Amino acid sequence: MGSIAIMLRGVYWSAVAGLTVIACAMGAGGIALAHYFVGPPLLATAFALLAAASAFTLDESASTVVDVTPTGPAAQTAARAGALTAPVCGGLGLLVGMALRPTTVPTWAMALALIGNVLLGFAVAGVGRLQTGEPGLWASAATAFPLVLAPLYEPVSRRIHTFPSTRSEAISSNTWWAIAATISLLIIATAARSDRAFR
Amino acid sequence: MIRLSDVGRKYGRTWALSGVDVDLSTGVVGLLGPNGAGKTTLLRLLATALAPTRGQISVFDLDPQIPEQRTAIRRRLGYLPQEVGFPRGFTAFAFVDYVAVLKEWTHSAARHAEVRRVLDLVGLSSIATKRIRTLSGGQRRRLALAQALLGTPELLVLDEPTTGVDPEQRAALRAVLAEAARTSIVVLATHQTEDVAALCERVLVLDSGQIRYDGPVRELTRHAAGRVWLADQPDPAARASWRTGTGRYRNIAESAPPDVELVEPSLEDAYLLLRAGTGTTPHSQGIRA
Amino acid sequence: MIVTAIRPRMPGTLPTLTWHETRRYVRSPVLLLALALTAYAIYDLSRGVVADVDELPTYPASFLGGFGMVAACWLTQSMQRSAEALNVAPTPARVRTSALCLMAAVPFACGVLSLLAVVMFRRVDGDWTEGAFTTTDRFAVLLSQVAIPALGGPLLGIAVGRWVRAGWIAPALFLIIVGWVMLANGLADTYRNSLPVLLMRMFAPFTFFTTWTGGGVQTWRGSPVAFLGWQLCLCALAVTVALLRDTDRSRRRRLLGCLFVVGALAVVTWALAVTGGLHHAVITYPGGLPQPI
Repeated sequence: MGSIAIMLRGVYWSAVAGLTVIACAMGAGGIALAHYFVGPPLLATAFALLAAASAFTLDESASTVVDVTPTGPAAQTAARAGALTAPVCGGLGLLVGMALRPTTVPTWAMALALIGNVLLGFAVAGVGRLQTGEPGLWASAATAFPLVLAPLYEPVSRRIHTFPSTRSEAISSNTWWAIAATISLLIIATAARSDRAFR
Repeated sequence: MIRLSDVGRKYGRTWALSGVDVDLSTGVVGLLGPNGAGKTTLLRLLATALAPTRGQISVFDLDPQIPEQRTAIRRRLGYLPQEVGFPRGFTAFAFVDYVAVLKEWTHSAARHAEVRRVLDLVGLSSIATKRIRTLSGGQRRRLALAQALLGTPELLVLDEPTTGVDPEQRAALRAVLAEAARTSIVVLATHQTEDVAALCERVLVLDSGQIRYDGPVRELTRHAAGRVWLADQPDPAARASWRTGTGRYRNIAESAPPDVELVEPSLEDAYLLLRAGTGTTPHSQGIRA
Repeated sequence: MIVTAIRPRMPGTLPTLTWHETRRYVRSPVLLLALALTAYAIYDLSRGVVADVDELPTYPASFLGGFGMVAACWLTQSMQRSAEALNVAPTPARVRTSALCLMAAVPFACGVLSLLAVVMFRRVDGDWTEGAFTTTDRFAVLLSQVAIPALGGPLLGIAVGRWVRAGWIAPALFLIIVGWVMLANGLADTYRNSLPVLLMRMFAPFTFFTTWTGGGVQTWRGSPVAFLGWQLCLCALAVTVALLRDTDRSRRRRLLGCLFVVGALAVVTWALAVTGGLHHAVITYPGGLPQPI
């Protein structure tokens, strides 16, 4: 346990915590306006920010040294997954807030979206970590921008919902996030087994 | 024992290293060569930070291509890369402690004692609690070396360990590395020929990805005997010539003119001659065609 | 004899630096993605008749403005790593910053081209879909929604990049701006005539002036022309803030003075944007006159 705590000290906490705080602030706005049409998009943006926060959890400044230690990438990834508690806790706070507001957005659907966002950010960072010690910047942008713009980009939004919605003619958010979360877990497992240095 | 057999490494279409055959055993081996010669690539191959494109590497009879054996090698390895990033907000102690955890030092008391030991070895025990961002460049380099010394590894791979380090500390580090070399294989890449001359029994000179010289340091230095002299003017035929602090010119060439003041060559002189493509006696065992 | 090479002063440093920065910027994968997405969005949405005129402009604003801001910020921050060496070069930091700001002419040009493409290829149901605006106002709306964000976004990115080292701040800022715009305009959809919502809507680098309601088009309060002026003041503020970094004392005083003047002008244009234009939201139907709502 102590070792995990020490390994977590290497996390880029200012980015993870900073993005989580901004996400919570934005999500709080979405909860306050839950009954207006702008509420869910604000929450979707907040969740995208949580995905961006997750993408920074694998950043390792001392990667040239760390990548040749006996503690392999699988163990390091597992330890770094502990840093996901920050965005997950932020998201849980938003879920509780939303649950207290009587809306048509099911809490469990939002929970699935939260899990999917966080795992997606972590998975993208996991792939980036194979190439560089600090993939957070690119991984967070690559994850968050499409998630934010997808609901706004009509050619995409009419086909896929990335946040729980009552519109029925597109792939529902639940389907999308179930698929995305599953694929993300597979990507994380595969990336974690790959040696980051020896290639 | 480390063995490299016809090892090569390619980046894109460029062979950074090719046809490297070398055996390494206990002691200090210096690695010299110009920029882009392949020194860092060779060190990264030894440190299991890179896979060879061609050839075989064996470290303590273990094959780094096999994941379990690669991990076993890493348990016996200390590696100082050319550039080391440090996590934000860490103190010197915290950084070495962090690496120690990754090197499987799970027992905190033993780990902390080991961290204090290596920090003391590199002369940083008095500033162990200072934040890394407040340390000078030389102090950071010593800190990076400290993490490589954790656990007294059997293989120490050091890429320019004394860059930015003051002469006093450099002398102290030489003592540390000399002591380590009693029981470990130390491979040291550097541009400081004085470090190689002072510390290494054996030197490898790399050029364009191939080994140009592999042999005793004394042997290489001896190749420059009779080829280095002082004069009042630079010799236009010299391979290298520069004005020294005494105002006279140190000249290095394949043959010295008659009646010049010959001086004792240094390893640097021999290295410059070798780089110029000369400085070899036809029958030298150490120099490779 | 000691011979010292005397390097002549090179008056072309700024153009040379601008060219270098422009080349780096246009090769940024983030910008290239933004250009591709903008082009595709304009192409895709121009194939049919657009019911909601506000839909198409959001894409150039988001991509060229938002992504462009991130690309410019990262470009600026990348040079900060060499700041210690660069700051002792004969070319002062303000020249390097000026070169970066001039580089923003390239995304602005892309924004203008996007605007032309929107004007030429967008098909709407009739003039009524663009709200109860004069031609000047309509042009101001398009300019403020399509071309100016492509200039202001990169300039904001440069200003942020000069002052902040953390790379994650740029994507976070983009998302904050998106959130603010969504919030302000979302509230305006419900509280059309509310003054606080109007203040919030105008106090943003981007805003909508109309909204499609399915049967008609609502035109909200606010002056598009004055809002355009506000946006240009924000651009000037961004340039001034960027130049303030690493400047000597005498220039800093002048820049602070400039900041004050531009800031005052921004306040004036913002006030005009809030107080100008329609004083009450109206709704326009095909063939009908605007009616207050």
